[in-house]
Amino acid sequence: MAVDVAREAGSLRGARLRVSAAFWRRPWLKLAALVGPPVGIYTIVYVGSLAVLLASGFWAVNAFTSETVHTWNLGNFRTIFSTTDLTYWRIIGRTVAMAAAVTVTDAVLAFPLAYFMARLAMPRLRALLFVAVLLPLWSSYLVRIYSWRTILSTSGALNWVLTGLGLPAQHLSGTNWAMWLVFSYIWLPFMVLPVFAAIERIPDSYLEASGDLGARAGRTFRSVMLPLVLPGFVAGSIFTFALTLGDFITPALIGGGPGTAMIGSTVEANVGLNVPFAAALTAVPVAIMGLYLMAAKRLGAFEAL
Amino acid sequence: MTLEARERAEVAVEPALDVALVSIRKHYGDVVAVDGVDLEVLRGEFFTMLGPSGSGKTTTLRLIAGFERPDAGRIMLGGEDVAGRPPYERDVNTVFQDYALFPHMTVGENVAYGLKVKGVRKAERETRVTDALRTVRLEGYDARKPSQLSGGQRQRVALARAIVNHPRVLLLDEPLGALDLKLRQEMQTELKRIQQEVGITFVYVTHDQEEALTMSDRIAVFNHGRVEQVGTPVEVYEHPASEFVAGFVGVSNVLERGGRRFTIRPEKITLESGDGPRAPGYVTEAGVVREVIYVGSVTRHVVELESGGTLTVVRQNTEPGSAVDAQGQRVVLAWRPENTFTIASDKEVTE
Repeated sequence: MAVDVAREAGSLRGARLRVSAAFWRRPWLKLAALVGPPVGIYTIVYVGSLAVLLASGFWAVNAFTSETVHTWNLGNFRTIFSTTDLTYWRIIGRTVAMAAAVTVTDAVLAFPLAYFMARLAMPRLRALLFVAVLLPLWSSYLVRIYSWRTILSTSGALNWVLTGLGLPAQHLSGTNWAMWLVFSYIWLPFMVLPVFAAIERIPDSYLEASGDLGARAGRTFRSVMLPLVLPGFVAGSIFTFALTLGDFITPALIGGGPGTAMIGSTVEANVGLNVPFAAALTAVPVAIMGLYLMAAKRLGAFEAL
Repeated sequence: MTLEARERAEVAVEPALDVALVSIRKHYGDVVAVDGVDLEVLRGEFFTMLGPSGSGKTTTLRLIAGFERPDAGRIMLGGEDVAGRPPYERDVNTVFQDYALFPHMTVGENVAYGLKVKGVRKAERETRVTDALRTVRLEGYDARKPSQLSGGQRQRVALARAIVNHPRVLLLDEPLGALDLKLRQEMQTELKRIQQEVGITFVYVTHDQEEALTMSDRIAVFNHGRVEQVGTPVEVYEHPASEFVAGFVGVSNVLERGGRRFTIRPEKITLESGDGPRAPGYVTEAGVVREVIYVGSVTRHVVELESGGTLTVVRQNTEPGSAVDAQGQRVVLAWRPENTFTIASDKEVTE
């Protein structure tokens, strides 16, 4: 009846009521109106630009004019996966090894901290630890990288402490060790949070049931705890692995010594010279992440979700 | 079956006491959860710990299982004090309220877990798992995941996972709490059947008095961390030892007449509308109907007595319209004095 009255009046209110009634009669229309804009933007801006990026990997550059030549060819990929010049194979291998080392380091560091936060810490201490874990993310990435530069430099805080303790000074600046240290530090929160969520979700009764059925702590950890936390590790490793694969700032500012080039820094170095080649190289970490997720799925990492 | 025979042989020689709690105490901060509990559970018994939430019954169960450590007292399992031992060194198994089935394992793996941990060989493990699943009527469900089962089925898997280990005592923590009424009643009969079949001592925790009365050999009624009464269902229902027991197991029908506090069960009172002739040997009191609650098979009447106090009376609805259904109507209540039981007036307990 309210609708009838409004319709007669022909007011703005009436129009609005008619629209909302139309939405109510056709739920799909409401859904389309709600989801359409974000999905549209996502498709055009995100998927579209990724597609262009991938496509431009198959283009080339005129060596004299440095202009992009829009002819399809596999030249860039032949250079990257060359069987005679192993430069890019080495860079890819080093990057993947670094990503794996950082992921394992963060997993090992994150578990005890996440376990303590999820199961043992009182609410106040837990909140405090949360802030401590997240605090670095609120400050600039660059600031943190530069502070590590000063810490690790030859006359930096690390060597100041080492020599103070009577230990030999270390020259980590520019090495892969320095990158490993800084990457592990920078991505640690991305591992702690999903592992924390996974541990927190496990009811006490699962662990009690395991003990009740005769299992000691070690057995309960292996047979109940780890399989149920695995999805958390996988979620965290997707961050740590992918972020390390693509990063170019840390290799540029912390690495830089001989034998420290990574995929990210090589892409960055090529952006000004040979955009199609940079695009082709960018496809490599995307493909690696695809393989990584498939392997994780195969291992059953998402089954306990 | 040789195992059952062995167990029967043991009954003959050992004292038939499976669990004995001696002056058990447990507190959390300022809250005293268990305040000096003494209990004895006999071999092969279906023993129920009944009480409202926070009465200490679940804590007592967790103390027997070893999930909590007592502040004081002894926990005897088959004659040995296990108070200082972790759960994995106690010959008991628990059926949890939330079932606690491992979600990443199949039904078969869940049931086999305890045997695998103890290093039972694969061939024996498989036969025992099959047997246990047959006992709970879930044959052929080995390969399913717990998430693919209904609530009642999960409950049975939890039961199978516990009985497959042939523990001395099976501890059940409100195992039917999450099921709907129909399924709960079905599982009550089922649990009783399984208990008689496997011959394991059951210690069962519930807040549902009907469940306790239906299934148990004996009941311990808990209140404020203490045991108010231990007895068979008939004893606890017909002869409640305290006002709390009278009220919790059934309806609180407590009257005080001439300095004597007593209780009487609602179905033992007759309700008459007129001033008809009274049968000899009955006590009568006049009153006014304050509330009429129709519950299908019976109707409950709350009657305010002229001499003070209220009584609840239950009448069978033998014929349609047989209920005295007028609020405010004057009625006469009659009961036999031998059906009343004097109770201790414990002011601490009643609040």
